[in-house]
Amino acid sequence: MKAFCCTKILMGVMLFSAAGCSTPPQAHRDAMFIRQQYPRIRAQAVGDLAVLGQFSKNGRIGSIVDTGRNVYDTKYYDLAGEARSIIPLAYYDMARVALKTGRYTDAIRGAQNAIRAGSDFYGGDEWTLLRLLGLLGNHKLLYESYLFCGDLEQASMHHKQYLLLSELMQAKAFKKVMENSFCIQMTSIRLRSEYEVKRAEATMAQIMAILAAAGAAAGGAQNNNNNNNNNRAAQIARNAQIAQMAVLTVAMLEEYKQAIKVQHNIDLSELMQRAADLNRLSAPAAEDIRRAKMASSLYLQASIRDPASALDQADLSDLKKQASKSRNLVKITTDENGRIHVSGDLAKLVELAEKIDEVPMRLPPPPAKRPDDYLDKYLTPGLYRMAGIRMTYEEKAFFDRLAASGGQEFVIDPAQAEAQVALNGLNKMIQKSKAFESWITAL
Amino acid sequence: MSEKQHTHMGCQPEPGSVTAVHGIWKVQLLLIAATVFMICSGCASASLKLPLDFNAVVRRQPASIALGSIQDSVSCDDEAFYLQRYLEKKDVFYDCVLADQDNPHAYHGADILLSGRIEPRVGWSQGLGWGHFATFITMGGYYFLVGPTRKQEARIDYNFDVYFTDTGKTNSFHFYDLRKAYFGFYGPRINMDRKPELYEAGWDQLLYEICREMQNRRAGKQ
Repeated sequence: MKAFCCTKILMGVMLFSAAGCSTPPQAHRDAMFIRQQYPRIRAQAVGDLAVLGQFSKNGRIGSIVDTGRNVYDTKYYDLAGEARSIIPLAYYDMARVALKTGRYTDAIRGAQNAIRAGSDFYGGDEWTLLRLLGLLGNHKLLYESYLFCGDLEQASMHHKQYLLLSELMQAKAFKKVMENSFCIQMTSIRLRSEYEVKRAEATMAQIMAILAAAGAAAGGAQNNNNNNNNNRAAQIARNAQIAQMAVLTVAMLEEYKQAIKVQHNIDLSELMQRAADLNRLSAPAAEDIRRAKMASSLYLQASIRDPASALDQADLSDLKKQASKSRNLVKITTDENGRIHVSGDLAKLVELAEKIDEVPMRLPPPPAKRPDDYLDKYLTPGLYRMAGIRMTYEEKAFFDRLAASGGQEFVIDPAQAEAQVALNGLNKMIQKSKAFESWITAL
Repeated sequence: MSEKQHTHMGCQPEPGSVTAVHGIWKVQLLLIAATVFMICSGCASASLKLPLDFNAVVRRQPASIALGSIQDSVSCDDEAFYLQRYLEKKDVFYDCVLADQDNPHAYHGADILLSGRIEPRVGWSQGLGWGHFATFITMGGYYFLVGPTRKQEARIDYNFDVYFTDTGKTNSFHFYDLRKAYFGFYGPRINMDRKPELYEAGWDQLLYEICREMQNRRAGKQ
């Protein structure tokens, strides 16, 4: 009885793993993103770039793509889609992690590469949906990254592209494209799963036959012969089934393309051309910049905040005074051994950095009508840059500790363990106070 | 203003020589011993070796570095991401960011901006005359005991431009890495075309050059 149960469990595990129930790496990374495991996502995504060697030029891929963690058989539509998504999604994941951790130039580079990789690997008509989804996500990332770098022109350009892509995807015709694409994908997954289950069953039957043969020892010779004959017949039947499924998948793809052309009057090539044209938009107008500012999180926060907690004129003039003195708060020199000597009022610099962090959260509420003056006055590139520079928890804790100990002068030795934290934190505080100074003097 | 620096670090491995010894069995024994020695010592040679003062020069630098365009034989941007990971692991610079490819000098405020090109060339394998001779003398024993009978060369050229923000000057560094692998029955002992590990010797050299340059600049400022 025990042996029977064990066999059943083993069979279940084998069927489960063979039936393609393992989630793709992209889904793993989504889960890690929710759990904020950013370094792990980055490590995994950089590792995925090594798969590039299996792709020939112009986005053509081999019949089998092996990433080390997963093997993709590209004759199935769903697996071919996943294989083609490895590189664009690796770049996209690195970009979104970089954005979350405040590394905006890394995010820009990642999103730019994701768009380029998307145009290579999603070149065919059947990948239109994936390509447009990729473009949508990456333009959004670029918009936010450029915004917090303080480049409003680039930010508004990518925001415009994002809006146009959203509009394109909201079109009724495009929804039909999505529907068909999902339908094909689900069918492909079902066909593949059925095949995998049958294969696993056959493998299990073989294992059972071998076990039975081993148990029966000498007397089982006749049975084995029968099993082998049965297996050979089963293998021929399976091969025929695979060939049939491959023909069916190809036929469905063709049908899908034809159906879209005939029923919905959409030429996918034209649709892709429209998407590509979005990258050649003219320079953003004042209206685009205004729209980009109003779509930002800072404007949204200012709109919904309690007006009582907003900065008033007295607060602003007090901050202006502090900003004028911020330039000479600390003096930094580097000696020939690479050690950094910091002298000055560190406690005041830390205090100022904390106040600066509060400023974007306490902007006066925007007027209900004609917010142009408000946008020009408060939501300047300096404010976005300032809001974008955020110290990590470790950096903040390090300087709080240092300021509390009353250190007027200290030396950072780059060979020490905490040197990176100290240097990064110091650099951020100085950059932040510079951005703050430029913002508040223009008020 | 551009300063050119050339570093050529190539060396030829010495395959060793066989002294003529009377008696075929003594030759056989000697060849078997040589084979075992070569297997134990590794049959590949790497030309880019770490300088003796590497650790003294390459310490954590009080500087941040931005990576511009790093190109190689494949038209994609994976090298920059690999190099960033490598520099972060080395813990040399306090920050390492990737620059915007369209506007490499913007946004990051890094002290150093690096860009460059890596050109790998992996050659065909060639037969070794003395390996075939040894196989013949030992009636195939040398070959089946994994004695090297073929060699393969890989040459990687590195061309990097390093821009120092404080002075506005660019230094160009050129060096190459010549590797030879000797192998026989079981194929090469090292994977000669595997990225990014293939480039790490070159990146070590680059790191050393940048850190030495920064040390010199700091010493000059005092």
